[in-house]
Amino acid sequence: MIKMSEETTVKKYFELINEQKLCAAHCASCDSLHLPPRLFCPNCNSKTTDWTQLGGEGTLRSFTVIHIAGTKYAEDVPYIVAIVALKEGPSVCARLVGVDPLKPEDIHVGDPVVADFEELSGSTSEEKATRLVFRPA
Amino acid sequence: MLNVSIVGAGQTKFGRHDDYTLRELFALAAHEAIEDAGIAPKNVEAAFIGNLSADQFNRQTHIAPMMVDAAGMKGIPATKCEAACASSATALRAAILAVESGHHDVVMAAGVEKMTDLSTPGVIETLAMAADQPFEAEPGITFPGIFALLAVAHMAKYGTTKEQMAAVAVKNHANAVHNPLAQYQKEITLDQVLSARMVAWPLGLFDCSPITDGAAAVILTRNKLAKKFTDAPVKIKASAQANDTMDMCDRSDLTSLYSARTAAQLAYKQARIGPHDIDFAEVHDCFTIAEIIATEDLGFFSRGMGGQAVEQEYTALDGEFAINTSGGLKAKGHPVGATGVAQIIELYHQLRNEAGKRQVDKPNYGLAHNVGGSGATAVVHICERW
Repeated sequence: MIKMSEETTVKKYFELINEQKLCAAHCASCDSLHLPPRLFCPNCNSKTTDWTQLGGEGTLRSFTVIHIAGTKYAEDVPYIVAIVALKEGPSVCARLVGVDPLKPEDIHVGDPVVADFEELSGSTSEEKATRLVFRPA
Repeated sequence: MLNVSIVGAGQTKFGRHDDYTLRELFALAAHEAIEDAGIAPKNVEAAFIGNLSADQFNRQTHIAPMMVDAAGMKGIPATKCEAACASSATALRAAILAVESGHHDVVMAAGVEKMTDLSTPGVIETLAMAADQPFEAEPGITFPGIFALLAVAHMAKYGTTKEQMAAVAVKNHANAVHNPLAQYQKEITLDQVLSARMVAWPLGLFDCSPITDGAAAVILTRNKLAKKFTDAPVKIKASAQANDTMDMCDRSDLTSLYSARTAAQLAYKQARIGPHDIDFAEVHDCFTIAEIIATEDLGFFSRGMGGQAVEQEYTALDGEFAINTSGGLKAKGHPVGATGVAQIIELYHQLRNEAGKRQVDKPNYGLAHNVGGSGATAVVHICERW
């Protein structure tokens, strides 16, 4: 695992995602990992001092197929949003791709998944030009 | 134990109101509450008003002074409270504490929301603002999606079925038939729920509460003064709020709301009663699965048994724990910022034995459970008949 000394801000998290790195805020005091990143450790209140890059392997904690979305994602439906428990501990909310959203009965809580990154076409926001997604492992 | 009573209540019909703007909805509910308490607007000393997002729905901020002005209470301290769909339960809690502290004798707690000014995609986007924007809304979660995540986890762990969730909608629509202020005074069948258009799998359209306009208001005073206003005040025995992480992914359990369990425990302790002393409850059924989880979090049924309980009609109007006698958010309607106070108004009417055909048999205690967002906020109130 790569450790980087950088302030564990939301902005930096998405800069790292743009570099195709999934990282969690690491608390050096109590050696815990946190997603979403935080400046202060919720366990021991120390300032989280660095980033730990995660391997991207995880399992599905839950998922849903969005059939009616807000304006921004109206064209994307149906799509799957999942909560994934990463091997290193923290969980993250992200899209699940590479499976048929019209066959949700084929997807199960506990299924192994792996992180991947998608380039967002037509995005004007430089900050979030890359999106974290998961695929079946 | 609290020393505060409800002495007046008012609520608009819930539904689509094309002829009224936000201020008029509020004024109608506020006036009815003031009249019910037998007072004049000038007797109200302060107001706390729940509202989720007049800024997005109606392009209006700073609504509290605007609302009280429209209801003839110009100049009193008026404060907006926002906690997503639990906004007006937090307003009620603030009003209770204002009376309990001795600062005020007569306080209004209210809620108002006018959602139909926006198109459905606009409403979906606005409600999703109550989730963590970069970490939940950006990947594409919606509000139905959040509760679908809870549903899938609950189904996987406990074997809860779509039919059990559908039974919540069928029951709440059946109750709303007897509520003249409900948005849908119409029964629906299990088949209609199960065959409805998918919104966020496994939740279909009839698993979801509707888009609603409406307002609700109550007048509070201390117990010692309550009888001056009405022969049948309703005592507020407990007011408890608990919060959780904003992000669902940051919680260890996706089958229950820690905030609701904690608020319930605090409320039972305050009221010095337990879940089995409760005769009926209004719970936050924004989606059918939410009612199932609520009845477990409140201790009415053990974890994982909420689905069977509704299926076996334990939560029907004449069941062991009558749940959502008003029709709930599902059928009464869910003007998000008004819901918490509207729940308390159902408690008020039931505990005064004036709920008509949906009246529970001589209840002593009613409980209201209001949830904000994915459960980052939960508020539980317990009321007792005078």
